[in-house]
Amino acid sequence: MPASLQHEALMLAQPVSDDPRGFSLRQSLLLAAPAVLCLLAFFVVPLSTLVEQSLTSPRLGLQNYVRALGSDLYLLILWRTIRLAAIVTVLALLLGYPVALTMSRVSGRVAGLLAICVLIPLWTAVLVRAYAWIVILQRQGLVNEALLGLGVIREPLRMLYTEGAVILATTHVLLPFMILSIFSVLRTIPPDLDRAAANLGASAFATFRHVTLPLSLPGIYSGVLMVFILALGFYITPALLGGPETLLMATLIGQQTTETLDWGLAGALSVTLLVITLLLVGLFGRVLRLEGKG
Amino acid sequence: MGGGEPRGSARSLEPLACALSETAWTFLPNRTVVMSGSEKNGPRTVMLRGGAVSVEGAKRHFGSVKALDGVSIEVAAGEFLALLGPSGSGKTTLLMTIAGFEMPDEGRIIVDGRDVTGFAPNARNLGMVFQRYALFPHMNVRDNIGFPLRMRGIAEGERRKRAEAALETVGLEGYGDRLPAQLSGGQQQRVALARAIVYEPPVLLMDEPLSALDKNLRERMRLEIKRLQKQLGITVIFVTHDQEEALVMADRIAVMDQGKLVQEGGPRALYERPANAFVAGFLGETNFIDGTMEGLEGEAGMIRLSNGARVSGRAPAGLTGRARISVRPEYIAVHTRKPEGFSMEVRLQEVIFAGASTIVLAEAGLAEPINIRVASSAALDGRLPGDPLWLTWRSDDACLFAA
Amino acid sequence: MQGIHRRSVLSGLGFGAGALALGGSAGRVFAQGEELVVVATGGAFEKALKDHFYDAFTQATGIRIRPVAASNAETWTKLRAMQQTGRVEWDIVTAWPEDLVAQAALLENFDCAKISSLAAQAVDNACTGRGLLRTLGAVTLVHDARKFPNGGPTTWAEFWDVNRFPGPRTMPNAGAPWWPLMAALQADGVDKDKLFPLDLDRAFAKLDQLRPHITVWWRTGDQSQQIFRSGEVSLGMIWSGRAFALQKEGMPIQVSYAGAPPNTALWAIPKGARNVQASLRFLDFFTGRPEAHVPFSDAVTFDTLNKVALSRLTPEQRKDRVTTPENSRQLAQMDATWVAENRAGLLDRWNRWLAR
Repeated sequence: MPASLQHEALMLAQPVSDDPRGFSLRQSLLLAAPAVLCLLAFFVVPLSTLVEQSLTSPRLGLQNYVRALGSDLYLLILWRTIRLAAIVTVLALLLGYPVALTMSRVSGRVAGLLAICVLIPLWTAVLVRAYAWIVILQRQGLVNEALLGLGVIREPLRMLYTEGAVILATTHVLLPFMILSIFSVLRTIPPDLDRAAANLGASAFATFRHVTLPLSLPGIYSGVLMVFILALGFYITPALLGGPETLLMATLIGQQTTETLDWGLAGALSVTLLVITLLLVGLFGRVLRLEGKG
Repeated sequence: MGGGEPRGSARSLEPLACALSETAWTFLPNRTVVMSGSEKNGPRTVMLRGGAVSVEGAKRHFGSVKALDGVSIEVAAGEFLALLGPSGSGKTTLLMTIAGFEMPDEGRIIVDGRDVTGFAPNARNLGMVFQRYALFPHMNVRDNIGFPLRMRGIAEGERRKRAEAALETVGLEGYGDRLPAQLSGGQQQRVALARAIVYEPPVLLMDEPLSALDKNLRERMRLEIKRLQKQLGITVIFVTHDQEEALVMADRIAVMDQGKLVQEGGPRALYERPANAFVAGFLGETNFIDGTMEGLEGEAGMIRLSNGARVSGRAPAGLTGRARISVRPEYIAVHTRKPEGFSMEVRLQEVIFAGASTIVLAEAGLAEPINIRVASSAALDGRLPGDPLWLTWRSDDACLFAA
Repeated sequence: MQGIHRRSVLSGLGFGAGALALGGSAGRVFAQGEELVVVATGGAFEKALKDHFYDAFTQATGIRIRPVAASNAETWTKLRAMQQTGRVEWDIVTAWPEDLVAQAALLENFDCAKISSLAAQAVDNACTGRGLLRTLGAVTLVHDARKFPNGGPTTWAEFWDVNRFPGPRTMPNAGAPWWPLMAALQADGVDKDKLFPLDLDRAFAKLDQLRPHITVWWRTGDQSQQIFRSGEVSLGMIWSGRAFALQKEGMPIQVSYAGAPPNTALWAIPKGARNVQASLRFLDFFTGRPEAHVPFSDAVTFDTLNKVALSRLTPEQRKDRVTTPENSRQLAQMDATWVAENRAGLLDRWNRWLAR
């Protein structure tokens, strides 16, 4: 799923060119065959099973969808999930954009160093990062000890197993996706454009607003899309750093699958999440196309 | 063939002469240009007033590299100055320092009587055309040209009018709605130019603006920019590594090497009176021959070459010992019989036809053959490799430098 | 060791790394008849099982044991999936008493007489036919003595008293919501022997009161230990074995059996398992080794079914165990049948309550 989303995002960011020197249709199909087979085996087949389960378990009908969408609890969790994904996306954008901008502006060695700083968390297991956050946020963790030591607080704050912890850690995990997708667009913007804008009388802020920002929109769109969708389906981090009050869709689906064994409902919830995700992808694609024309 | 005629330098500079005759026609002292604009409001008059630029002792180093090593230069209002030099000579750094993208470690930049040394680029009000145009790809041509006006708080309607006028000036009426990607390289170049002049800056900086164009277009644009500069009366500082471009376009050329200003002057003066071997070699083609000074008589010096020949050229005062003579291929006269006075006997090595002129390579017992350029009409018909030839040049056409 | 062995078998048959990547099922085909897959809850507990029983069993019979870790909920989900596809990969699983009823359809009804050591070695009623008693513990009220220098809470009513005993609390969210509900009812004044059938409305209302003070709902035994170590919580309801494990680490954890729901685990054999005879051999082996039960039960601080081993424990070792009369009479009464019958609805209501 992340890989295909990434691909989708890249497609959105850079329309594929029609290269006349490219492969013939037959060659292309042949080249695509392994990927298509993998998609069929690992994506299409399980997905159809999922849809089938949601419509037939325990008996044929839409009862699972009625339960999924008719329950105020599931709607609450769905809303909570979308809200959290949106907050994480906005945070990742606000935190990631300056980093991407810096990476695209500094010289080679510093940019490399920054890139490594961005990539190392990406290469670290999500689990490890979640435990690192536990160490930082727990009652006798780094943050509380520091605040207590400075006399800012007298009682340790409860930070772990809260929505704030989930937002923080999820943003941390997904930040590199935002940074890299914005950076990949920013670095294609010729530095001369900044100079030209300055020379033409634009302040640093005006240059950013009128030149850099509009030109980096494709990167923002793909980063926002990727982070939002990944956040919608986030599982491990919320499970480890959140409490029951931060139960999200993915965890709920997992619960229905492994605990209450209600596969029909799990299927219906999954399909609901999938449909919402696809709707958002479509919406973004549309916005992007309009933007491209404008 | 009855032997080569000694040829005058004016003839060899034919292309340059042509260019000058075409471009030196109008120099408007008041620099008032009438640009046609919206009919409703009548013709729009743009008052352009070229500003003087002076750089005083600019120093800038990157690590141990001295990009600018104490450069001082004055550019008069309305003058077209070419900064010429090989890559790494500091010419681009100098331009960027004037534009404000580089801060000098030492020295001052004065534009139009105003010390702008500490000013940010956006506070300097200078026009600039970048090597790759630097048009904003997400804005159409009109918005690109209107951008500097927008930054100056000029209202939309006025921006439109002035952008159209600027487009007309560069010959791109009706292209306002196009995106830069929909334009050819030459058209983009013109838009960049229009954008750089629309807010009527006193000085226009150009950073190798023609290097991305193909040869034909490049040559056309040279003349067009030159024409526009004269028409607008704007001061232009133009960076190039192309000596021909500098010769064709500039009123004055400043040659830079290793962060230093080596020589400045009119194109012709530089070509004919290079101050040192570097300028002689960089500006146009030349033959360098090493030897030993034998005597100085006023401005003329005599040098004995390693093949025993004694030849003369203009020499700086007090030049003795090892020296080097520079003589341009087209200043050398070829004789099939030994002429009166000093001459150098050589053997014909190769004759290469190159269109209007023909290149003659002559073996003189030196490290390298001597390169001579004669009019093709005066080519050495019937002469075979190995045949003897005699070379002469006017003492005034050759330059002697310390080796 | 086992991994290396299996690999050499596979590579000997010409399987490359790709075959290994297919996972257990490929290996099982070749290992059939000489390997048992035993499901327990993993971690330190599983290691103790391996040290004291699995390795010795392999030595005695040549039958290897492959330990697999799964939570109680996972166990039944996966087992159901395996039975649907007709390939039951597991030979022995860990069940809770209510599972013997609720998951009866998934479990083999084996003959207790096949476990020959039962009469001589096991406590009474250790074998039900669907399950063989494995370990006995409780879900106890514990507190960190450092946080309560004047004495901590020892009853559920005191656990609910946030004024007298302030501090962040933890309760289990580990697939058995009846544990916290049983505690809540006792805190609300219900007698520990008259909790069932559970008055859910009353129990949830009582839990609502305490909820703001419960900072962690632990999901695994390891997590319940970790939050005490890190000071994230000061008191809570956790498995007795985990509490004593913390004591052994040197933490001043006080354990109260008062009103603690019993936490009993059994071995069970899935229906459709392919090595039932070998599984029964293991169950017999497990039952009849008092010399192993002593160090094992000491390591995990749970009691086991072996009565001979119980008699060999020192008084010091016994005093913390759930089966001593002083402790066992404090335990709350649990109705496994009621839990089994109401499990699905209870879980659903629990999850809804928690998610708000």
